[in-house]
Amino acid sequence: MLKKRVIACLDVKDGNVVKGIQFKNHEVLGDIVELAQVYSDSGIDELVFYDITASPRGKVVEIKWIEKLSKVISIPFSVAGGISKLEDAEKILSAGVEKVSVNSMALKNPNLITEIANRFGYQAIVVGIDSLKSGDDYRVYQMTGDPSMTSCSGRLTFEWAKEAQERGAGEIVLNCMDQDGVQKGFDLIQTKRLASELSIPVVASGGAGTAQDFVDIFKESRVSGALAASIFHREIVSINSIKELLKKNNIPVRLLC
Amino acid sequence: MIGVIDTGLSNYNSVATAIEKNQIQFKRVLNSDDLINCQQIIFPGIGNWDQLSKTLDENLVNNLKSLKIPFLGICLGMQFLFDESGEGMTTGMGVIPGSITKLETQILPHMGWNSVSLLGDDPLFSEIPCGSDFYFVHSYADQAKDYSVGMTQVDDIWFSSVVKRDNYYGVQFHPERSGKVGLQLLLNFSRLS
Repeated sequence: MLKKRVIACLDVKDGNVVKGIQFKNHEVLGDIVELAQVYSDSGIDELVFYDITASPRGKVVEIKWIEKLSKVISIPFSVAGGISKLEDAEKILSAGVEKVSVNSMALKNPNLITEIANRFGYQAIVVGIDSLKSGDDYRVYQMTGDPSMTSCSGRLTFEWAKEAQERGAGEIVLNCMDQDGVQKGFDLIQTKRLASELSIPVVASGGAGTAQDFVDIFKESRVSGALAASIFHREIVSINSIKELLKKNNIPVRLLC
Repeated sequence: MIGVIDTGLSNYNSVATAIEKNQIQFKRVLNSDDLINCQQIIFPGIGNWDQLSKTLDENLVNNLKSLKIPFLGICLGMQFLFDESGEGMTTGMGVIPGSITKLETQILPHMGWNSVSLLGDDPLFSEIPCGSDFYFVHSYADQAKDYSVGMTQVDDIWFSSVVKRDNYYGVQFHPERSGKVGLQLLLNFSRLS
């Protein structure tokens, strides 16, 4: 049986792992390769490395830390940050990464999703969506790595997610910005709705504070994975305790033998 | 010495790194000449069926079909052992009879960790705990299961996650991304002769 994935996101800034509250005030948490190794050994199912400064600075993620990472970890990982053209994706994928994740740049040029999917397969392309409640609906935000550049793209979250799926995305990471970094639990309503409307895997992101939050999101929605950052970095909840609680609740998870 | 085929499109680097972690000697295989001195061959594959067959050297493919040494196809590299696939128009290696077909599951791709039910003991799974999970990413699979030595379930569908015919092995999952058990599988493969 396919297991539900518990995913850690490591926000990267200048080669260090950082974390801010609601995308602001970033604090350095440690060296990227060392933290990746720790996570990999702890039973995490997947890692996401997100260079939060790349997009706002108009740069692509640095290949040298990707190559270093690929040498130390043997679980799947994806890389995000400033990927704006096919050649950027090619460079990153050939450095030993499974998936690239696009966000702001795909909003600017949606055809990027199609191009990457056609060349490398749908499994290589993840679309990240930063979503914020707006009246009765949800809208997509861009350039969320830098608060001074963050803006609403004008697109509706559900419409954009469906377009991304049609264009060949292999997975959607839905980051609910209202919840991000505040540890009050995943946005069950928004995530449940999105996962039920798509036929590709959806990963919930933003708001995890306790192991119970993971149980809730997997029970309430058909998401394939749930992603968190700060609770892992600050060792508020161990990956093992999340997995144990999920297992107790009959949610299929991978346990290290 | 293990030869690892580099198609230019594949996850060659991930597989090469995983083999390095096991301290096994390997070399990059780009064409038929590179097959010399190899005791085993790994064929990593990722992406799209037609893209893969377009990129592969025709002469290399012909030589791969008549190998007598242990061969391991990974993911698309496993599927390519078969005659054909619903994903593409071109033919595969055809060393295992049958067709690769699309999975009819609620969510596609089948992406994430899943377990393998072995149909019997196999040296490839030596020292790997029963029920271990491996990492999968694919939408097509061998669902006829005629040459299956290990099977995996998604929704209510069973497909071959491990196939074997003579010296040709195939695994649908990615051992290079399956943590410790994946590295063990690659180590086991390197000991086959």
